[in-house]
Amino acid sequence: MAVNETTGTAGPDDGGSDDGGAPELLPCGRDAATVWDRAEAGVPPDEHERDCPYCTATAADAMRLDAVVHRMAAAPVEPPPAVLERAMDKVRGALARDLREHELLTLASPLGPVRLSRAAAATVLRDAVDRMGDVRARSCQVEQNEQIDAGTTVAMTVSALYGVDMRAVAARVRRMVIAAGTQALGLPVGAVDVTVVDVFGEGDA
Amino acid sequence: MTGPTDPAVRLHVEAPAVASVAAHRARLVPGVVALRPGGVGATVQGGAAEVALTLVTRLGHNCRDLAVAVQREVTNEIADVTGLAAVVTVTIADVLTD
Repeated sequence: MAVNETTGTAGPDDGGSDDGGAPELLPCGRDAATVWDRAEAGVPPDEHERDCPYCTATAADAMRLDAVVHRMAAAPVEPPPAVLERAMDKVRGALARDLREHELLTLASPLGPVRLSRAAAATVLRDAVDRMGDVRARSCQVEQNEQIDAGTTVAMTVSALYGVDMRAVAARVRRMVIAAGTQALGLPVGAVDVTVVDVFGEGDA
Repeated sequence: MTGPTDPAVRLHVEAPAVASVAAHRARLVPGVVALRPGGVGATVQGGAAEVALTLVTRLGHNCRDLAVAVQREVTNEIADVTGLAAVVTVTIADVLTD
């Protein structure tokens, strides 16, 4: 079973919103981006949002990402030795790898070239989606357009919790990827393709 | 007393010195978990330096903002210490998520 949610690539001629996509409607008819932005700005939920499972989930997504991207500022952490050692193993591996040009994305900087490992970008986006709870990221491809301003195109396959509305999942994943790209990576995302490739039950590992 | 007739002091800064300054300063930028050991590249030509840094960060620091901060801090430090104008290339090799 596959549900495909594809958004058009934002071209410079579109003159659309800054994230470059058409409004992403939740099954209740609300735009996921609007619900997200209101929650992020601390606007209390209106009557509809309080009772709507789609809007509630979308607002919770916004809060989860916010907690992740601001957690370093909030809590200076001294990780336990085991965690630190595991992290340093990853660090040594990452630094030893020879990164080739095609494995790198370009980030906008006024001060000189900045590149980001494509695999690292995908890891961050997948991690953000995994935190949503009722969806798990599978594959994630990040492609950069020749014009950096047009934003990157992200193609993600996900597994959704059995019983959740897949249209809502697709809309929320799209919103999460765009927000995580901006807030965690500093990488504008112009288009997101979400494909639900599988479902999982509450008890599945 | 100095004047135009004094012999000029010629300072020549070798690339490894520039690389050391860059690595030292970059490690102090919050969000930089590690730098590629011994692999900070630097070249010096005339009054200009080019520096390439490969680093790892962790989730919670915006990658672009971190890279720009590293570029700014390293460029300023090299200018202060060596007088060289530097262009700093930053490559983020990985982002730790746990």
